Amino acid sequence: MISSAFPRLVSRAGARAQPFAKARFSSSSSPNPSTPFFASKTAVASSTLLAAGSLAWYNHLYGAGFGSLLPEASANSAAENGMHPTTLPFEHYGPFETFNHASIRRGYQVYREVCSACHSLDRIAWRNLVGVSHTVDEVKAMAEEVEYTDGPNDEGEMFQRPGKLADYMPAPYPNEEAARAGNGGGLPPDLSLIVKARHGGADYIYSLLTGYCDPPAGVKLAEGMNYNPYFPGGGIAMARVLFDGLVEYEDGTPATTSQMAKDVTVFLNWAAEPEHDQRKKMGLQALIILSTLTAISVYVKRFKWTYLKNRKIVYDPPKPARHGPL
Amino acid sequence: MAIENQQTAAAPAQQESTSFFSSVMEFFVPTAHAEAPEESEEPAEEGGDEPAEEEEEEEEEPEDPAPAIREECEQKQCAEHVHHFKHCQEKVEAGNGFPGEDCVEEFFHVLHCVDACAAPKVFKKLA
Repeated sequence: MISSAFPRLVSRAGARAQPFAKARFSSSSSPNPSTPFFASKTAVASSTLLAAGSLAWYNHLYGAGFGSLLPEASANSAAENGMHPTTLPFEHYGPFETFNHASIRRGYQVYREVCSACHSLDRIAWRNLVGVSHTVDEVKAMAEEVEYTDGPNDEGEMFQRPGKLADYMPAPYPNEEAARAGNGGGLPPDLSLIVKARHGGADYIYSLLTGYCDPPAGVKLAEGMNYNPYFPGGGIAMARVLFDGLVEYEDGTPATTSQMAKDVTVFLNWAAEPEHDQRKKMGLQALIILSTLTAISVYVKRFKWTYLKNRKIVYDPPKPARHGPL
Repeated sequence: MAIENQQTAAAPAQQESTSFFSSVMEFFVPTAHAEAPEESEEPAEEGGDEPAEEEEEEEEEPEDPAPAIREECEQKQCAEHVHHFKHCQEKVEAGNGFPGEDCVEEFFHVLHCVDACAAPKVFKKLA
């Protein structure tokens, strides 16, 4: 019904609009008695007044300023966000750079002697270290120092055995509750993926480890908390652990605070991204393959088009007829 | 001695990278090396014990280069930020700040400047 009636309605509306259009553009200055209310000056003034009035009333109720009309966004303070770490010149940051494997080896030592007292490394097995930082025999010897529960045996009982390459790194606490109870309520996070899990990555870990300092004036810390500007909120349950000469590196590198922080950061970066070196190697391989294919395709195109590009089309016009039309 | 040991630690990684074409082939047809790298790793352990003598010589505590470098940055490039920070510290500690005022923002400005200034210099001194 409507669809069939629509053309008629439109034509009728057009017919009705015509006299108005004529009146609008007529040169006579006398007001037309048929002008609708919304075209009058009164309507303009009153609607403007309504708009301004509603804005004023809104500002009176919800606070002045244009900002009160926008969805509320409470910006965190700088302290709540934590200090953003600077990009540090780690050796593995370039697009084609590998990890510093000597640093990974030292970093493992720092993790083993310092961090592993509280932090687990659940996703790294002993075998992962082989060929990365240690030799097979070294890793086997290290794994054998740890006792693992295995079983059940023939009598259906669990038994203790020395670790194997396939075992995962031993955790310092059996469960989360034990970890919290041992650390004043704070849970030391698992470090397997910590570099990927924190904003700022390796820069953050290094900055956090070296960044402990006295709190600036006016900062109130909860009991048992330590101040670290890089930690969001500033108050961190972990105290500063790295001090000069804490470990003794087997390769003779001076074990300064910065050195240990860097080494353990590189180690944790490796733990989070064990595929890192291989990934960059594959990236370079992909680059070589793609650039080679591009070169070949350019060559083939030119080869195939040679005869077309070198072709010369000559138009040989027919000779004029010997006998013109008579 | 230290350098020698680093090289041996990194040796297995180098061994994997053979010729380019074999690694391109490896890309398409993966091969597993089970026990291969083990042989060349034997000498690595011999070198492992030797640096112990060196460590005995340098018994004194190693000194961290970072604090001195940061101190220098604070005095030179970041003097202005430090000035503002100290001003805030004095004001807040004297109790002249508004209620709840702290100097975190000023402190972060100092840190931002010092970190950027010190990071390359510190890392140059690290192994």
